[in-house]
Amino acid sequence: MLLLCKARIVILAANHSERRHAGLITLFALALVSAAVLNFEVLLTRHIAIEHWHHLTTVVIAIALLGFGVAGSVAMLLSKSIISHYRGFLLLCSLALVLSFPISQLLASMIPLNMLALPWFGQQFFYLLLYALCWLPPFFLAGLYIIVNFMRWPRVISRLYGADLIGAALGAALALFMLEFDQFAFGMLLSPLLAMVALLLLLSRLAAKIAIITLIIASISILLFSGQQLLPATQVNAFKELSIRQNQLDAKLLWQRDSAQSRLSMVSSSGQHASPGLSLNSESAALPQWQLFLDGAQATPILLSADKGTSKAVFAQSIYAAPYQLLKRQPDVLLLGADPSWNSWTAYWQQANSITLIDQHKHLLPLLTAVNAMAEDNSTEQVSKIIPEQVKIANLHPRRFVETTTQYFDLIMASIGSDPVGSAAFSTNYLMTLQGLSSAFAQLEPNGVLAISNIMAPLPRDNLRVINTVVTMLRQQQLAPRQHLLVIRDWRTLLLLVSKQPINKQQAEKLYLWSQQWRFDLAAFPGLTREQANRYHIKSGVLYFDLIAALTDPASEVKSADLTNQYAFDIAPSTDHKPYLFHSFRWQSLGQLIADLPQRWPLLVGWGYILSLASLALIAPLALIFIMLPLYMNRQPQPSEYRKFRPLVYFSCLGFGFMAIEIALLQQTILLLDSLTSALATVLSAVLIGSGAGSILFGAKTISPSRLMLLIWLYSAVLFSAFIGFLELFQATLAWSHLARISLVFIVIAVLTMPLGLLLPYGLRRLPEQQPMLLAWCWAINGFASVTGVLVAPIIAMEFGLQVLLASALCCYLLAGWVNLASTRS
Amino acid sequence: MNMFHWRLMLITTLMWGVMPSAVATHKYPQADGFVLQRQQMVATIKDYKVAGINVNEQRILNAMANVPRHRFVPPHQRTKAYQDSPLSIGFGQTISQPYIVALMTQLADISFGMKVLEIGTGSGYQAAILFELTPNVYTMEIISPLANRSAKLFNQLALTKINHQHGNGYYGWPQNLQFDRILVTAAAAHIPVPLLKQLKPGGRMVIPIGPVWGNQELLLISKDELGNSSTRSILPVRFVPLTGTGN
Repeated sequence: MLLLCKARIVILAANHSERRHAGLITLFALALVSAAVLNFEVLLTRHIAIEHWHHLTTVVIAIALLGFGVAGSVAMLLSKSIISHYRGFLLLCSLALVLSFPISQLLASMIPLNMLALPWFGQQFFYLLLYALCWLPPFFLAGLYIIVNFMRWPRVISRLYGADLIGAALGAALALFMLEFDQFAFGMLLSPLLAMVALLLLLSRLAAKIAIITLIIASISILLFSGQQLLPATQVNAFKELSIRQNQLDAKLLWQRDSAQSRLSMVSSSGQHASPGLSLNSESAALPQWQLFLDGAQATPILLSADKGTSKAVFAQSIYAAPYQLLKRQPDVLLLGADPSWNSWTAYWQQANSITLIDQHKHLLPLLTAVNAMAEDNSTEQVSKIIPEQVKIANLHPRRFVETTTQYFDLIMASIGSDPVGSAAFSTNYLMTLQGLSSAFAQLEPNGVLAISNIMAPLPRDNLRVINTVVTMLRQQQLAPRQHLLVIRDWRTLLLLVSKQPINKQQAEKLYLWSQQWRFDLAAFPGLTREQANRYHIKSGVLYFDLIAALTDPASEVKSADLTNQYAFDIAPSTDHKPYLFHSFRWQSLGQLIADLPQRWPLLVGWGYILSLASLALIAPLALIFIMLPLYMNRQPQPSEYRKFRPLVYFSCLGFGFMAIEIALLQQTILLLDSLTSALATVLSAVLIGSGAGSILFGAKTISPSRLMLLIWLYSAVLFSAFIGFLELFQATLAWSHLARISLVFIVIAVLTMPLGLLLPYGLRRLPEQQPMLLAWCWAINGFASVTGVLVAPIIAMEFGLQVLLASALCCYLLAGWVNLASTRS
Repeated sequence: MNMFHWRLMLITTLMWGVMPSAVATHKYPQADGFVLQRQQMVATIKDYKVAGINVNEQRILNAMANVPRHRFVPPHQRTKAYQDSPLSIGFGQTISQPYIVALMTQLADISFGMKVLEIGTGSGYQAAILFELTPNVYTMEIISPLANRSAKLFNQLALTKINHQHGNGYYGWPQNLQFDRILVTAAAAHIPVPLLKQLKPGGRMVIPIGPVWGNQELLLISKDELGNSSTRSILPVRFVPLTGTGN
């Protein structure tokens, strides 16, 4: 209340100048609306990831962001009413915004969308569209609120834009704070609350209508707070693994926790029997276990009594015991990948000297605490230890760990973690790049082994890219791939064994005998024939044996290059500049896929890329329609200058360029900050605060078009050089603490993106003041270009790499500068 | 159609009439309005080829033509029952694509009288198809509402001779029987060792791998007379790299 009173005093003081300049209250309310919508946007990424798949997030948010563009188009059509009744519009927008958050969530939860059925039933595309459209209203209303402010106070657009961006930054930071502290549900409630505070600020000006205000606030409060029960909680879709498991006999959800990265859910059920890589010849049944789900999928066994002597046999009969056959002594083991419980117990029962476990997502500590608590509460479950006591846990990204550790290991185990649907095309993986694997290889003891595991797809795809990366790495180090690489598999799992020293006869013989005993097939092994490679787990068609033979052919590297260039999928080695391990789609192969597998080809291509393209195909025409429609409906005479396409090009370039820079920085920063969440929080806040400050500080300055052009050239050169330097920065800050790296990245990006905030208000200020509808239209163009940017930028990054993406963004800014210059000259 | 074809059809019809059938075709209680759709479904299955593999055993096609699939799907899905696609049956479960059902049955290579275990009753449709081929069908379902629903449906359709249980199929049939064939209709991430133990030497097990809605691959597990098992992936993809190194 005290704050509100103070705010009210400020309003009264500033009220006299309101007709010409937006008061503090206006700026504050605008910042709150932006904060509300950004908080919602960030939390929506988690909501969609939990409810459906995180790969869907980009698509849904892109469609939802259309709301910003649509708001511009609508504002253009209603420009006269907006100018004369701006207060009413602002009140209405903020009130509707408050309500739109819960209503959107409610409507979206009612749509029977099943992403898995997308290739089978056309109606699922319709549901997907509906689902995405449900999230549009909050973005539309926030966009409308912002543009009404711009239209009402065009002279102070730079301040307004600055407040908008800074508010957005705070909203994003707030959302990530909520996620980090397991307050996801409360975070979702914060958006309508923030919007309500904005509404209150606006209403505070209308003292005479106190009764109405009270009534509205009371209604909204009742709706919101009772809504916690009325509204559906964020729950996993019925088709996800967790839901299916919970339907099983005696299944119990034991524990659930939301973090910034994922929702962890632990389930106990007598129907859980995961035994990764267990031999068909094994006599052992699965060990008692719970299972841990990440966002309702990717079940990981948490073993409950693996320390008992009877369990030992299971771990000796699994494919994950293969690397131990090559080692000469009790090994120091480093575990970088999935299945921490299974892999650490394997190491334990293989008499490991030490076991270091990398817990990249910081799941294990809360998990161990929870398991201990559950073990105490639940006397019926025989829980002993889910990981061996001797395991040392490190909360670091695997890449950072192998770059910084001074310890050497006899065995480093990593996993690729492919998604069977191939929808993770735009996920970065900085461990499986040429540089990442080289760093891991460098940390092996002289007789050490690097083991990399993954599931096998019907057509070799991600695994082959990793094999190709390993082969390239070995060749770069002047090592003969065939002397250092062995591959073993069963019906589902492929395991690469990369030895530091050439594999000797005794090692090879030991592994061979072991593989025959437990009926595992070898796919790359000295002297192996094609028949021997396909004995126990028989595959037809393309065999890994053939492909690896071509890639490792000692006689000719040309054969390897040929295969890389002409294979059905993109299997070129991953690098830090193009770390998209799971993007393997190739246009040139599509025809052959369709011809060979007419009915099944959609199931074999990577869906991540296809979804991006499909969304673009859907959104680009929609954006064009919404840009052109208001022009068609409002065909009154306008100054000839603005009927030309220059504003269209200028604001399109800004919209696309801004998003492309943001995405390029975000993707590269994941390497520096170790996780997508940290990178998202830091980059989003830094870009928004940097450009917001830029808008406030420089947006009102008068700069000649030629000088602006020069500034853009300079800026492009600086940003591109800095971007190339990011990899150097990674090396230079390897040993820095997480907080120090976040601070550095924040400062660097905020400074680097300051000039970005200058160009939008600069362009808007150049529009004639008597033409507010043009201002709305330009806002719409910018909004639609941003949405298109969200979808096009990942496609460019996947196809050509991050440097090309940044270069194309900078070209857009240069084009905008040139258009501005040309417009002045003409 | 010329006279030769007419004669051939007549002879074939007469032969079916006089030959003792080794297939236990179940008489379903009432006629339905889906006969034509079922025939179309069977024709689709017959034409469907995944890289060279198709379902061509007449007794399996007959079984598919006889079992009223629409009775095994929820009422709101009935119009789609004969489409060649998986369908939701509730509780996150699906009834498999008809082609997959037929292919799994063909891969199991079931002879009359064989003892067959199905893990994952689901809708009950696969069990009904198996019952067309052998009277010794055992089926288990872990999800309680589905187990109850299929039990009720078996009663309604007079399929009471199908042995069904609600329980965890990982450990196989509780009485520790030995089976000639085992079909696991839930997509697998691992092969249950206790189930392998219930498979007779010379037996076969068919398991789908991968998501039901996704790119499902069938795995055929064979147990030789010595009790050693091996797997065969049944999706022989003809697709090879253009360099031809795969050849």
